[in-house]
Amino acid sequence: MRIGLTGRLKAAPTCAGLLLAAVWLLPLEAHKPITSPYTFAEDVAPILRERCAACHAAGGPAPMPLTTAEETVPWGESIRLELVSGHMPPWSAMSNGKRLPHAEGLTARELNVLLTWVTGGTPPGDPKPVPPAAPTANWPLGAPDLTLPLPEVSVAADQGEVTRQLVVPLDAAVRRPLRAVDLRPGTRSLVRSARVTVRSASAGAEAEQVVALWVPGDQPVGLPAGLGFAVPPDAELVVTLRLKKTWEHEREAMSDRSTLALYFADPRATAVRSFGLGRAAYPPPVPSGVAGGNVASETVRVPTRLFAFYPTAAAAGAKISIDVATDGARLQRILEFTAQRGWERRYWFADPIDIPAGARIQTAVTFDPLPATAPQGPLVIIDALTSVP
Amino acid sequence: MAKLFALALVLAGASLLAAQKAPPALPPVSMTCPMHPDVVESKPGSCPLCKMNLVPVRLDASWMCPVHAVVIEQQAGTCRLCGRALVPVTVSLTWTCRGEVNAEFLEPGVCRDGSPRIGKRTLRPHGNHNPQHGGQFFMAPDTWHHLEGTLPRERLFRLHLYDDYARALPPAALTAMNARVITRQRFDAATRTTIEDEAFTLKPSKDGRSLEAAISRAALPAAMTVKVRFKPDTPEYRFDFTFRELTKEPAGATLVASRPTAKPRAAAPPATPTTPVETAPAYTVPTEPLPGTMAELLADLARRRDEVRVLVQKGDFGAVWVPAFQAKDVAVALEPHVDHLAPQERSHAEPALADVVRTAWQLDAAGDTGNAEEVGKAFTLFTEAVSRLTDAFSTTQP
Repeated sequence: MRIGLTGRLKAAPTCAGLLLAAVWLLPLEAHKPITSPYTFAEDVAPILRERCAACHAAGGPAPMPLTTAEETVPWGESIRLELVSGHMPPWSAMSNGKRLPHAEGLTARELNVLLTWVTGGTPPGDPKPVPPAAPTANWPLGAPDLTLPLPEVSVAADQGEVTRQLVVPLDAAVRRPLRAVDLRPGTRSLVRSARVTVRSASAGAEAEQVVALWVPGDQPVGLPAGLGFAVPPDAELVVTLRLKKTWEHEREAMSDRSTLALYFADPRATAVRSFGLGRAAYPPPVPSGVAGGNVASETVRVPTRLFAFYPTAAAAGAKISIDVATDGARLQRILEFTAQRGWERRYWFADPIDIPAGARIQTAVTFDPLPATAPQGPLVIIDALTSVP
Repeated sequence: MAKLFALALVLAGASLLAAQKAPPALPPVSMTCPMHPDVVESKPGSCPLCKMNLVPVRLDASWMCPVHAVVIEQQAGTCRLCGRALVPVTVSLTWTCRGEVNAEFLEPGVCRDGSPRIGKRTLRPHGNHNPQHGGQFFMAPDTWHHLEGTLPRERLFRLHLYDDYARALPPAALTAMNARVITRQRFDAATRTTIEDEAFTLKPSKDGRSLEAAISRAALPAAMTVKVRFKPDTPEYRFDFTFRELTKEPAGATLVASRPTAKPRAAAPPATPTTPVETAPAYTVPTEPLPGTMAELLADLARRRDEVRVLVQKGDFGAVWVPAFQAKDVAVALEPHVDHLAPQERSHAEPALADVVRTAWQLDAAGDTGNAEEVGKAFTLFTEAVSRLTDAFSTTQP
């Protein structure tokens, strides 16, 4: 192979100053000497397919598909920044001893392969066609007991992000305890999150029960048999959709019509209830830019089974750790996560945690920096069964 | 971020340890612009700046004399001309033929006259991140400027500025810069700002080749910060230097590459008539083998962490990446061992392993740019991750 250096060699003496000036005026971002032993085809594509394709695929909520080397290479530096900062993948939870199903973090090897590849020249490897990502099931929990098409919501051409609240009346026949609720977006590239609650006038606003927190790529989890979220006789569903365009669709009018899937529990199911933890305890005003937070403890009065935790909107951005101490025992960390903005999700335990009466649940919340005004209300919600047999 | 020659050496180790792949006979082919060598792509196309067609290039690791750039060797050693220690650099590798000055080939082979092609190594951008005046060398966040701080005398701080080839910038470029060296500063917790108690404007030296400032007598070790704006419309960048002794201008055979990565390369196999330059690719540079047992790996991890700590404390930020990357290689090697852990420890160890890898890359990025605050943050996270990992594995150790 002959390389075209002739022109460069001849021109070098006369163009050296010009070249220096050009580079001086236009500092270039990167040179990419290929030092990575990992290639896209052999090493990177399988990781992206497994870990990222739920969002980073054509039509997905992430604006950049990462399914081929051609698509991925231009994003190399962005990928590096996102991975090194821990922003991506959007999963920050650690549990101590209780596995979290569907954990979406990268392993040490996967992280190292991706970072080595993006900083090592992004070699494509064998350009064989990358097999498409495995098609995801329509409904990961299986056929729903009931599907509810939601009303169409739109985002005007001059809007980038909107939040829409939809109220879904329930017929008396379907006001049954819920084992799980899932959502299928109509326009995948538009729907960024959904929060589904059961609202009942008779139960009061305080009793509004969150039955689903949906984010792209998240796998729904159902309550164990015999348990369910209560649905009072006058209940209705409230769906809060956050819609955000990717830059590909800027100045486009867009719309979405998502579908809810309801999975009913046994009509006699025992109700799983939600409790607020970790109320903010610092008085405003706070110094700007200072990290801080508070530690709150709650003592459970009856044997309790813990199923899941999720942060409230007030905890957005905070680092949260939850420990449990039974009488005379030291605190044991059961969950630690960061309430990543825009990625509010429920952290389910694969195996519920039983704690005895008198046990203490300690919630430590750290903001960095503290918000200018103290958050109101609880910062963490726990889904629990308080009538453990 | 653009990666450096030094990274190539570490990746070399990573590849040896992590992948059971037969290394290619030659370094892989990249595509570069004939007029803008900073543009290097992995596939054919056109230059985003001038639209010229990209041309292929092979990038490799070599050793160069810091003074005589024509001396580029395949192995560590001393300069044939002056005896100085060679420093690691990244080069492009080509072959040519005698009497055919314009002939450039990407592979070894035979010339038209039947003689073997002659290997040639040419310095690449960012191929040389070695200090040239015995000081501390950093890359600016804009990835184009490079600088080196020296303390030649107790009352004199000097700043040398380079381009992406580590070539000294012309005097005209230096006069356009706004830079100062801060020798005394404190953090005000109330306002969360840094107050500069003693700062000196850096001005062009008499010969115009560097910026310098007469400073108060520096007590060693001397920590000082440079803040520089390369052009009026560019951000101000911060670089933290720590001098444990006065800087000595390298002279003759006493010059030693500051980067501890200058490990000797494996001896090149004997040349054959068709391969006048045997090119072991950059990532076949030998590295220390990782230990095999979990206990040994954990001990190695602790050793790497301590090495990072020493370098951070010394202010030798440019070298932090070496033990940091070795630590992340240990973390990757430890990953299979989590299968032996109880569920509780395992769920703790897995995120800690990933965090060791992530924070090692953070240390690398922060160290490159010589920002003490960023290095400190990354080091705190790194040590936390190592501690969590050690705790998780502690129950299984004898």
